Amino acid sequence: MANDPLDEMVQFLQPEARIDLKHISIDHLLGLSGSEDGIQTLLKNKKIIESIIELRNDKVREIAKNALFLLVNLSANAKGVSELLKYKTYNNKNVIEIFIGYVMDQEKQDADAVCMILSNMTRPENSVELCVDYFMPHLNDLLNIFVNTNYNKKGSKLHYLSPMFSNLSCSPRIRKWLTEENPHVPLLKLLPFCNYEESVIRRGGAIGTVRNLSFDTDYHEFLLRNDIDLLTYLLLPLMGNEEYPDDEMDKLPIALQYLPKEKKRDADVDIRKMIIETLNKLCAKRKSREILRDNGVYYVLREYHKWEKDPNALLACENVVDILIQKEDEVGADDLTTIEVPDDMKEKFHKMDEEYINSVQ
Amino acid sequence: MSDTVESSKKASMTDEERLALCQKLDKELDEFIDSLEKKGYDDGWPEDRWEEEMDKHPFFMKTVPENGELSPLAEGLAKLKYDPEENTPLELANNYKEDGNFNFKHKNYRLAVLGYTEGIKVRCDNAEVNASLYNNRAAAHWFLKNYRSALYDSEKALTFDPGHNKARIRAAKAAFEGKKYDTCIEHCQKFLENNTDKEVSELLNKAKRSKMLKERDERKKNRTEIKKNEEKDELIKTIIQRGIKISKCDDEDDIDLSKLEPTLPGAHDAIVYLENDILMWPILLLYPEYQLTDFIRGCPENAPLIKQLEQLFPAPWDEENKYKCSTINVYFEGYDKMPHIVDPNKNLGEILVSRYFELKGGTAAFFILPRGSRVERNYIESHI
Repeated sequence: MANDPLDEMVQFLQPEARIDLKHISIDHLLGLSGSEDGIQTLLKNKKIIESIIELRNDKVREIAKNALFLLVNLSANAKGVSELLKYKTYNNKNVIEIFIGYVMDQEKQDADAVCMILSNMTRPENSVELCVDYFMPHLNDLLNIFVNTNYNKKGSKLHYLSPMFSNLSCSPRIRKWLTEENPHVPLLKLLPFCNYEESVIRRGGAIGTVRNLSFDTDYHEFLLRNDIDLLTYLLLPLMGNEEYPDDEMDKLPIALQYLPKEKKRDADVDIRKMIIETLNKLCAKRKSREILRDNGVYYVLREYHKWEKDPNALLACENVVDILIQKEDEVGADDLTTIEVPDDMKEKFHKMDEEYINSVQ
Repeated sequence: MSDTVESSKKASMTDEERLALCQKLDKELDEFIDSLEKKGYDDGWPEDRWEEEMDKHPFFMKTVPENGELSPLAEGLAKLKYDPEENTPLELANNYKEDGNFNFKHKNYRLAVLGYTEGIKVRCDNAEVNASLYNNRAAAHWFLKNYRSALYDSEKALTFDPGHNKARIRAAKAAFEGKKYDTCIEHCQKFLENNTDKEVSELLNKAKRSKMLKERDERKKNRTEIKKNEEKDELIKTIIQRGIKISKCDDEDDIDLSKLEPTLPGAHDAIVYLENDILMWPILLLYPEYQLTDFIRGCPENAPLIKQLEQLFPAPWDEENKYKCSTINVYFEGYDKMPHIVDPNKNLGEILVSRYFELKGGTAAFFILPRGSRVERNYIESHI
């Protein structure tokens, strides 16, 4: 008798194992991966994990699919990610490379599950740089695949590449790649998905990527460059069919002027919050603030504030408005990130925020 | 038989006779030539103008004579060059292309288009030649500012040779000029996939911006139209709510703005409007005594009529100072064709719904007469 009952199962998971046994085993393991305890048990057995990864290409679609779903569950766990990253195939390939290859194959079934795995695996911040090493040579290809919404011939939508890019953009190397011409600026291809109606996943990933870029003040000048048109993409989800006086309307980016009656704000509060957060970050420098004012960001936020119900979003919105409504001599600092806030004040502000949120709720 | 007779006749000429005849003919020829020499040779091309003459000769001419007429010889030569029986389709296509290129070089773009068109008609099976024929015709169209044709031909050239950069750029430019910004953007992007070109990048940005502006203008137009319609509906709804009788309207569904437009010359823009849910009416005040009128725009329905009159009196024409708010009577002519006296202290809105009142020509009309005067009596009597 083996100590670990899972050891016994490994033989049923081999490619040449009987299909019915393989099927039942993977089903069982998939169930196991649904709970935290189950994942911990699975992670203790290296052989099982290896066998599951190999099953991604099983001839029986159900088995391959369940293996992939199991890996989705596993990669949702931080420890699972670090274990998976250690794995190498017999031809010395890393799982990231394996899964990138899987997505690149237009004929693969269930590529969406693999996109989820990639999105999950890039999430833990402590291992993102390791992932980037494997991603680096394939970034342009992956972006082109992402942009081509009919890439997968078996009906996978590949939406989850969007949060993957967003996760990756936590790495300075990815931020550099996103903003440099090679021969095109990758971010430009990603931006239209900020307003991609068909998928909230794609929208969230694209906006998340922009938000990560905005955390890096070095990129503010780039982000607010005229030809990037970032404000058009960021403000559109915050706008409904409200009317603006002509002088305000003229200030807005052209694509946002006179939106049709059927225009609605983005229904996803997380996306709205990410946008406000990004705008907040973009307020750091005087030059950026001036660009935001010149593009009528204040007017859009004013109208948005009348509509928003979520207390956190409202608070975030007010914070941006508070900065934009001031004249530069009232702001009194070129770069807001350089201002040191004493701890007692921080605490006080924090308390005020909490009180505000409670009062709105 | 006759043959023998002839031969016998010829034979009858002796050698001496023949010799004499020869000498005589020689002499005559000499005399003839002599006479020619005296005239000199003046049919040749003069030395100072030989180049001009050469250009006129069908063998050497480089351009079609200005009157467009070809000499039979030139026509024959042309036929030789463009004869389907003498040339393969490819040769023909190339010959027409040359012809087009020649005219193109001399900026005869219309003739160039004709040349390329003939070449295209040949339908030779060489993709390169066809691409070049279409591309060149596109260029000629471009210079003629036929942007639609230039775009069509450039795209046609691209079907023969998708990598034809000149055709791609011209397609983009022509699409831009023809305000087909999507097409322009598409061509620019296709081009920039494999090339870097500052001009094309700039064109792409220009097209994107123009497209945005065009779309913005369309959205603006739509929104303004919708708003205008909403305002119109709101206005009509309010008038119906107030229960004001409009002349020539049988029922509520019959009311539209055309029946509310003031019919007075030059006053059509003074039409009733809503301001903060208050109807603002145009009113007409008539003074039969002097045959004068006052027209006031935008009188609020919730203000007494007297307020309007206060603004007008004293009137400059009222030398006898008979027209004061306290000394006049105000009438309207009802749909019963009778004058009805009005209390000017009432709000305008109230007067508009009084019995027998009917709004004619979108304007509320009132007759102003000095109370108890002869003019007032005459005015009333004229209606009985």
